[in-house]
Amino acid sequence: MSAEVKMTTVDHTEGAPVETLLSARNIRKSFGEREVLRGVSLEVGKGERVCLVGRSGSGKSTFLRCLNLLEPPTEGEITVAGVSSSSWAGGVATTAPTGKALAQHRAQVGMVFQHFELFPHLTAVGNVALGPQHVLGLRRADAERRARELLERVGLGDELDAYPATLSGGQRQRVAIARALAMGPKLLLFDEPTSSLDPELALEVLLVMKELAAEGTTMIIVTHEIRFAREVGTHVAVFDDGCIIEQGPPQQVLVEPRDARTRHFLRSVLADVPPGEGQV
Amino acid sequence: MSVDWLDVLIPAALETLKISVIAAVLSAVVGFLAALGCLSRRRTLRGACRAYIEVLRAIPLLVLLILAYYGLGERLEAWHIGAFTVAVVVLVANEGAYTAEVYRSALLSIDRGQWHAGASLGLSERQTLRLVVLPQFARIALQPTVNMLIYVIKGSALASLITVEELTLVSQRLVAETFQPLEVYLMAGAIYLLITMPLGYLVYFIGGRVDKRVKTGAGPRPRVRLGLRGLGARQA
Repeated sequence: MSAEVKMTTVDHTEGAPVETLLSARNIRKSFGEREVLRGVSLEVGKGERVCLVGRSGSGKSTFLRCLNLLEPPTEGEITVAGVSSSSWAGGVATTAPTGKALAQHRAQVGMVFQHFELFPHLTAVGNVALGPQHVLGLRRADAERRARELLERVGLGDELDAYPATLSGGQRQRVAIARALAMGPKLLLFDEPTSSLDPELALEVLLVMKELAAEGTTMIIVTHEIRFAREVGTHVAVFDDGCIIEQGPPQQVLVEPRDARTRHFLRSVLADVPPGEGQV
Repeated sequence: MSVDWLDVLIPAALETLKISVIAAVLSAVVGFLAALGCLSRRRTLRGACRAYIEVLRAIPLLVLLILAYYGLGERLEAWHIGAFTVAVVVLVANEGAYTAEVYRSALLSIDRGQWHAGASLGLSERQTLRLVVLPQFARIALQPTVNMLIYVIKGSALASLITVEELTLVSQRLVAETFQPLEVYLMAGAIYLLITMPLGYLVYFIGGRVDKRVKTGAGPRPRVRLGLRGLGARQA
């Protein structure tokens, strides 16, 4: 699989170009008549933190689900270096992983959802250990050991045997992050991870994400937290109406945007946040 | 009332229990498969399951029984199929259709996000069904399933019309011998009650334990009590 992947480079970060980890080319997605994505291309280098921002319904989340192959695009190409490469045309997959290869792709491209989507019938450890045990084929004891380590890492060492219903939103999302990490992914996708949380609880999730960033984890984050994007992101892409209208380093895109639509969007999200608040 | 009544009524009650348990287990299986079929991406399968549910739900159980037993008549004899088998098959065909509808909504009530979460970890659809959806489904489906079993037990009384030696038929015969319809039928009724009543408690016992474990926070649920309240509330 990896043999057919071209070694290209991206230059999103300042300094030395980095190896491309994920490349999505000309992704289009339609639901019936409605075209949600109209040709989105994105290159993500190893260790980069790409933040996707934009109005609700602009296609960010759909794009993210395409990257994980939860939602097959109608057209385009997605390549994850060393994992898989897929392409679609006219709503049909020309090459796309199935079976074991698809499972591997999804395990290598971890996903954290807006509404956590924890398994309510399993404890925190059970949630995190499920994937390693049944997808990676670890023995139960080993999977649970890994789960405990990861839960401790996200600050949930005291809640190992708690069921999701007894955890706070912030704790649930941290379990979800541990669950994605347990698969040993090359890349983590976050779909508005803090949108359904109170600011206080959002903070504890953002702190975990900042730690991951500091460790060099490659992440693509759909977010409305503009300050977080500015601080943690290495690259920002602004979505509008199924297209990326502007992308570049956060300092440029979020501070001195060129596109009028980006300026309009930023004004509307930042309007009700007094200066200094929402900062992490 | 005489003790020898019990000598005939107890074996008959066991026969009732035998039909009911076999029919209920098979109904649960048929219902689950039909429910999955209704949610399938394959159009023909979806259509077939839908048609099964719509048709078999609409025909009265009694009509179905008589149709199968007397309608097929000699052919059943030729195939060596007895009244017991006909009763079980008809009960399953009818109750499976009801159960499918209940199970379908139970499956639909499980958030689609659960399927996505399973898939996002690399679990196959079948693994997600088994490891993620089924345990949650079982919790929701437990109560309707026991309800279904109770319906099947009561429905099995109709099998008396096609000569199955179950509780109702045997009671009728006993009345013909003793000319004491009130006493005999009261006793038969009491036996039905004795069979079905503990099932209601079983639901609360198992359900209560599962809830304690999962703590869904879905609000207070009825607890096991030593009165009749639990059963009464469930049948209301």
